[in-house]
Amino acid sequence: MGDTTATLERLRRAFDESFAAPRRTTAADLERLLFARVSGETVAMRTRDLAAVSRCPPLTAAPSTQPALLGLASVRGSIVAVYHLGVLLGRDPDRNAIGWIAPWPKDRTVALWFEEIVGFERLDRPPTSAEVRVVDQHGTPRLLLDVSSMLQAMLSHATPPGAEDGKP
Amino acid sequence: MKFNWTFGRKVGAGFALVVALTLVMACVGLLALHQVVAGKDHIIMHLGRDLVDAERMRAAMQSEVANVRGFLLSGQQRYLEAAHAADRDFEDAVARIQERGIDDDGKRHIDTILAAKKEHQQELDELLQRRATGEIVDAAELYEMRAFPKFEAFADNVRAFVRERERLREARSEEASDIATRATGLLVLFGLGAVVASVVTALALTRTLNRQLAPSILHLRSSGAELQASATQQASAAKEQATAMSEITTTIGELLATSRQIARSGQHVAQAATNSTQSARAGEDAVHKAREAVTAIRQQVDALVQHMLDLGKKSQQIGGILEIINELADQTNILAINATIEAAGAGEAGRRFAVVGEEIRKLADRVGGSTKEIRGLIEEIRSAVNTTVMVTEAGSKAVDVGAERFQELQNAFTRIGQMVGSTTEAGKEIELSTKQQATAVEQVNIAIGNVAQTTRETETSSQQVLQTAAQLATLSDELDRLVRSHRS
Repeated sequence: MGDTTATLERLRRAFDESFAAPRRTTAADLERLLFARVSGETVAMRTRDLAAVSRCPPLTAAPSTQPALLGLASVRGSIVAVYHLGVLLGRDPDRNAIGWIAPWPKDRTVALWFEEIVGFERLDRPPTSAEVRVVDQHGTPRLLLDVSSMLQAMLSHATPPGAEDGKP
Repeated sequence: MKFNWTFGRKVGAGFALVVALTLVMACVGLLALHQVVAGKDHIIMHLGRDLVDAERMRAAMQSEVANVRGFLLSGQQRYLEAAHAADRDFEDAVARIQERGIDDDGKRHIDTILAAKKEHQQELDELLQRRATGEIVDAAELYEMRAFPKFEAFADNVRAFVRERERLREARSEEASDIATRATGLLVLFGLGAVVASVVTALALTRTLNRQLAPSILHLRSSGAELQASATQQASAAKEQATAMSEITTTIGELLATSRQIARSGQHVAQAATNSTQSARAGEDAVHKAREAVTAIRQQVDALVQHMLDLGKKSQQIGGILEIINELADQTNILAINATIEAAGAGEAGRRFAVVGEEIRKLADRVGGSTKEIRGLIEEIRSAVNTTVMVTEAGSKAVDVGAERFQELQNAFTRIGQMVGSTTEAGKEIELSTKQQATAVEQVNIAIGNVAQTTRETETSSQQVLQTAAQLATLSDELDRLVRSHRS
């Protein structure tokens, strides 16, 4: 009973302190990272590279030359192409769980699929563009993905179906 | 063939041999003496008497001749009667010789003498008849002429008979002497043989005794030494035994005291058994009450189990609610993340909203963490409830077992009461037996005293045996010395 009472007291104090703490409006507050697990590896993604996070809806298979394309899904009335983040990273295409999807804010018809949300961190100091690894809340360095660059590269290499025939 | 004769038999055989030789020698001597005596008797009884009777015959003939001459010269009758008396003496002598028996030569001489006597008698009878009738006057001369030669012949025959008897007497005498000489030789020979046989027998017996006695003496010496050692050991053992008997006597005395103490304790045990019977009955009543209390406990335990089961169900319901809360927390977290993302996408205008979303996300994380902790607590409660239910059920079963045990205990107390009753009787019997045992121990004490006395006597006997063994050793040494000196 003593532990339970102490836990309740700690929760109550943390809740009150969260509202009592002064608001931080520095630039660092704008950089947040989402840690996700895919193909057995935990990676970090900037939230500004993600439009939203939601459970992966049922997918409809679609023919494609991209091996990372899992299928098409309906997200809030829009058709979204779902790509396997692990395959884009060159990992094994494991997909045992239902997983999560995160649409790309620049093109909401493209979404990344990953297995599990591991954590959500706010960085006091935003990482530079040269940094490829960040440290999570447990002190473990994780691979920091540049989702926008990765998707742009992928989409730039993708050939539209009519382009091969020289049609617009 | 080997004879295993005893020393007495061998010595007896040696003496028997010597005695046999002596008897043979005596028999030979007796036979020779008998023959010599027989020869002498024959000489004395027959030949001597024959010679005497022969001399009487000659004397009778001379007397008859002289009286006949007297009658022929004087014509007196008394000479004639004397002549007839002499003639009867002659015939008596002849009759005695013939009655004693005579050999053929003697008989022939006697016949010759009688024939010569008859011729001489015929001449004498004629002369006497003619002298009686007066027919002749000078009869003496006629006698000298006619009868005297007959007389001479007769006298010659008598002398020949006498010489023959004397010769025969000498021959018999020499024969008896020869027999005596031979008997003497035989006696000397047998005497020497007996001496030699005695010496040989003595030497053989001596050698046999030495040969057979020496190992026996050695064995006797060895046995004497062993007997002395055994007697020494026995004396020591008897002394130790006497000491042990003394200790046993002391121990028996202590045992006697202990037996008396046990007898008194037996009385106390009997009294305690009587008290135990009463206590067993009281215990039986207490167990009966305890059994009723256990039954009440069992009812309470059943109610406790039911409450615990209800508590488990409530815990499961709380767990279900926590699942909902946890799911809501996850949803809130996702909503907060999305709100943060949307706020970030809204730029500066959404910054405050992003702060709120961040706080909501943290709150959702905390709620999720708290629900995990509460789930852990609920799991602990459920585990504790399950454990309590199991323990309570085990306690219920234990109470059932305890109730059964109380029943068994009550039965056991009943049996204990019966056994204590039996124990009381047994205690009385033990008391009686212990008294008898004390009496027996007293008797044993007396017997041990007798044994101790016997042991002391045994010790004395052992000392005597030791002395006897020493004497036996000395005797064996003396015997060995005698045998060795005899052999040397």
